[in-house]
Amino acid sequence: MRNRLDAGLLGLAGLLLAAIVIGVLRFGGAPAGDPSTDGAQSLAAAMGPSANADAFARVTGPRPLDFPADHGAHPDHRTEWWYFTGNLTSAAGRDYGFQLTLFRTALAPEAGDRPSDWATRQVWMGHFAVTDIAAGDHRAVERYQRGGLGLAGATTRPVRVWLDDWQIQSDGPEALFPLRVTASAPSRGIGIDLAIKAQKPRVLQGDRGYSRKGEAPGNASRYYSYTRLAADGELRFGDQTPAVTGSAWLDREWSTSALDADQAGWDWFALQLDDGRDLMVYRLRRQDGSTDRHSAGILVGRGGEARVLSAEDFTLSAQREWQNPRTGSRYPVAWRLQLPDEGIDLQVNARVDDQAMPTTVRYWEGSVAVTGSASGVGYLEMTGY
Amino acid sequence: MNRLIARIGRADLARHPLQTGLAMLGVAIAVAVVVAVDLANHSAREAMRVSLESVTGSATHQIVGGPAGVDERLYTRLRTDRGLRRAAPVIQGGVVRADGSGRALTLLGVDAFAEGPFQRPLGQTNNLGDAFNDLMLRDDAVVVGAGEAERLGVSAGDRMDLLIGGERHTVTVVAVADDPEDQSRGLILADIAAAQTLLDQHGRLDRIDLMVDDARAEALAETLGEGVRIVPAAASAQSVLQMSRAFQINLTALSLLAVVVGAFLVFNTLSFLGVRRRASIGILRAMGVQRREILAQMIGDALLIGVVGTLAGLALGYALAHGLVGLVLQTVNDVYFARAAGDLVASPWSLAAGLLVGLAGSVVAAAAPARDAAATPPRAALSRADLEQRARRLAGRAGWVGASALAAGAVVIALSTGLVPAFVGLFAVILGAAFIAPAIILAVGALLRPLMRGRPVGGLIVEGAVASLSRTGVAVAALSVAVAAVIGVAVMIASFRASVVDWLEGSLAADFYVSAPADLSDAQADRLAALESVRFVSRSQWYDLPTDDGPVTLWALGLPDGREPAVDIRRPDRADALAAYRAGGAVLISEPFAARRDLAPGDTLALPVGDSRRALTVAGVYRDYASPTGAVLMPRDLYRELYADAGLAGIGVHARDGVDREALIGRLESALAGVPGARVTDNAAVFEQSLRIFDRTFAITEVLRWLAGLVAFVGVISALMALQLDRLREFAVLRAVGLGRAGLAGLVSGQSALLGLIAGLWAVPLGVALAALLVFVINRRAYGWTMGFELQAGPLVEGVALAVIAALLATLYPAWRATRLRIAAALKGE
Repeated sequence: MRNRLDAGLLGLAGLLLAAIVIGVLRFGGAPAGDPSTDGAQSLAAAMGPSANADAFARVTGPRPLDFPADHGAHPDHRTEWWYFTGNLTSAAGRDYGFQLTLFRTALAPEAGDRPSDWATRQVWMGHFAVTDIAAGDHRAVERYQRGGLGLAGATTRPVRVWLDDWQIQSDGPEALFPLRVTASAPSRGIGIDLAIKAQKPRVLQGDRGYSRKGEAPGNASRYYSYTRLAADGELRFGDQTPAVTGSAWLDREWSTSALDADQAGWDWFALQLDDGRDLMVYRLRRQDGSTDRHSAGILVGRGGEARVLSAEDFTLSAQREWQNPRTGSRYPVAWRLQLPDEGIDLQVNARVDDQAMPTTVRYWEGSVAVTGSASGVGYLEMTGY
Repeated sequence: MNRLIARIGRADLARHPLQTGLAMLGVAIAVAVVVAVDLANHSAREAMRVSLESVTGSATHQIVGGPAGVDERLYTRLRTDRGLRRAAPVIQGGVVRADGSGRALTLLGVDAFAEGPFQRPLGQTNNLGDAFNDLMLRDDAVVVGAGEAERLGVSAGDRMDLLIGGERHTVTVVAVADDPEDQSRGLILADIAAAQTLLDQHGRLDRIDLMVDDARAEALAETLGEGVRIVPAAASAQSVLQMSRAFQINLTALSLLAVVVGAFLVFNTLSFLGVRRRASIGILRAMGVQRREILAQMIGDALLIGVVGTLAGLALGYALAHGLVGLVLQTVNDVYFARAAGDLVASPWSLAAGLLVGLAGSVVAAAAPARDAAATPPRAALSRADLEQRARRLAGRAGWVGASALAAGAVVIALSTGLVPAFVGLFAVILGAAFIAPAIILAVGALLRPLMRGRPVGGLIVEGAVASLSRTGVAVAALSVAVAAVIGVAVMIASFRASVVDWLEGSLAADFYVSAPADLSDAQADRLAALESVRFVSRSQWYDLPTDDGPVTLWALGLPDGREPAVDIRRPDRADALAAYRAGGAVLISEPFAARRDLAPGDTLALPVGDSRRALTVAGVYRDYASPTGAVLMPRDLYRELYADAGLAGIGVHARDGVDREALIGRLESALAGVPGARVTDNAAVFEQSLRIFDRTFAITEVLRWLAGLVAFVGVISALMALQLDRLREFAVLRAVGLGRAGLAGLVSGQSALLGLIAGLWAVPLGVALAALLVFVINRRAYGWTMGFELQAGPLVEGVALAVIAALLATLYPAWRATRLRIAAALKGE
């Protein structure tokens, strides 16, 4: 009797989950596939074009950014994220990687006039992962929340972006940094509580923050980064709660539709070199495997001076693949990255092969080590595999 | 076992197809009743559990507040400040389908982002994306389960008008969710934002469901503050299930009555088999067949009858259960829990119970007669007179055993307080009375014998009835028990009904009752009170206060100075109780509540108020049949002080004497114009409605009463028919010595009627005793209800008539055979 009932309830719960997933994944309303067989979609597919994208605000050209307002949410754009990654080391010398991303998605272009405090068109998704490098153990958690009743949201003065008890909060009312990042997932035994300071000023990606991703007008995002942050605080992994220090990186991006229909995904590198330079490049892959001409990057010097890179400025070649045993997807986890003009020739290796995100949207996001013409650490994100 | 002997047994069964068939039918009906009642009970329990879980989900605890609910901001704090993950907000409210059907539904508002672990039924078919967006973005988007959609006649995309708080809202069914078990029967689901708007409950939640362990719940409870508290989520469901348990025990007991009667039948059939086979057993024994072989043959035959009867009974029971489950659920819905619904749920235990009753019952019932038959010395086996002698001796002994069982039953009932011992005692009394039945036949025979001098046919009737004791004793006993049950239950229902009528007349003190889907206000009550022909109004509010032991129904009653609540106070006396009630800080409690909580006048009842508790004195106990869970009546001033709720669920309007009622209704209605959904009900209509529900509640009891009667009916027919068919040779002799056809038919039916009459008459005192036990012991212990005893001739006459008619029906076929007997052939006979 109990078993029969439980099976029924589990089935219903599964359907409920599918309902949420599909609702949330209307990031771009791209052809979504059957949720029961393909619940895990690629972030790239979700970023694609969609029928009613026109009704949302679009990113169509450069405009001056306005801070701290632009640290907050842009509710009329469909998609937005606050993306923290970093490499930390404990006092005992043990290495860790972390990622905390808060995604915002608007379900409708306009807010309705609704009396309930719960009513909202904003859905929030959080991804939180910590990698214990030596143990080769990557743990990740996903959460959803509605953007109503103060359950999740983004405010400015001070900047506060949160989803339940995962939170990014500025110390002062005007400046984004210093800030504090807290997140924990007791069920997976991971947590971070980090004080973060900026070591270089903000850099604007693309054309003054206008980052084109595709041919179609409006397939672009607003994009800026803090490429060198100092992190200091405490981390939890299993039953260990070491004090940690290290470096972190913040990417801020919002858009309504980014990718063209024939773009399959991207490989994104955020590298912090020991010589003080930071290098970000992303390669947009076309369905046929070739590199899209909108691929781009940025090289930030020791003092924060930035040089925007275009697709012709760098070459990337995958050198070794790792297959995710749970999904069958094959991700390149060793790369060669060359910037001939800058005399840069780097070997980028995943510090742990299995840093695939077991989230609704499947991708690989993990800590990497850099060797070659310069050494360093960084984060690599691969989607669309 | 020797094959030949087994074949002799089976051939004997085959040669008497009618008797064998009736025996099997007896077993089948008894098994069927047991299986059907058990299945119906089990299904009703499942339906309640599933429906309760469809709202509670797998929550372990709930955060609840007062009548105004919980401030929704608490939920945000739980998640953002305390990092509580497994928490889900819930609001719910009653709505009514506005178009035609008037179907009452529960609108459940939940947050899809919090629902995951709670496993409430909320699913989807295809096209989820848009439906999800609609649910999130629209205030009129709802989802219903597939079963409910069918009942409502809607599919995805359809609009539907609902009356909510008396106002009409149009909602759109944006999706129909898969719901294979029809768990979300009677539910309409909406996102919490839409539900708040539809129910006009902005800013507050009905509760917050939690999934935490007890330690975490306790820690949380200490720091919540702000007038909210944590109760176990199962408390409410548990209390409903527990309360309906008493009702189900009653049903089970009634079905066991059928088993008792059925066991008598099997016993009767098989002892009859033994009697009939005495001659052939004698021959077999004389030929050197062993006792244990005879025993094995008898048991084997019993098992054969048992197997066939049981299999038929299982099938019959399953079919019967389909009808019963509806009746049981009807009662459950009326009395305990308004949303229980479901289908028959197969339970292996029900089938096992049926198998046990049928097979084990047959073998156990056969054991004594079989041993008896096998143990008879060969020569005695051939002697009929010897058999009847022994039967008579046995009847005397059984009388003593019966008397002892009666006494033991009485002692058990007197010394115990629980419901189950009460039933044990009840069964002891029934069995005891059954054992006495054969002795009664002897006594009646002795009484009648002198009257029959000089009346040869009359003499034959009496002597024949008495002389057949070996074959009829058990049948008569079974018939007595069944008829007693029929009488007893009927008297109990009549008594109960009379008490309810009496109570309704006393408690429906107002002339009109005003109610509305949303709370009424004091201003509206004042407006009614100010009407010229209105003497005064009473103001009632009802609130189900969640507690650790399940909800407690509070009845807040506001009356003008000098008016007393129209309740029938049972203890202490009315004046004392009312004095204590008026003194303040005191409540009156209903009988079932007093019984459940073991409270007496003067005791203290601690009610949760906000996050603390308030001790109140029990001023008195009043009679109330409305709710088996019980209620706590308190002055409205006290209620408002404790729970800060100024709403009114009902206003009772007391008219001045000699007022034109029709005109007053009109004035009341115009005074209420503009109050959405307000309704004025005449007290006579409330009265009728209450009695209708009462009658519906007892429909299942009536059915079971007649089923028990049916078992006895079939049993007595089979026993008496077998008896008479066995006597065909005797009839031939009578015909040969000159008894006419009509005389013979009269003799045959006279004997049966006499036996039926004895059984029926013996059932009268037994039935009355049974009714008294049901009224004064069983209902008292099951529900805490006290009631009067209403004895009318109707049920008694009905019972006796049932017995006599059964007996007469049983003779139709044998009498017909007897009159058409070819005398010579029958005499040549064996």
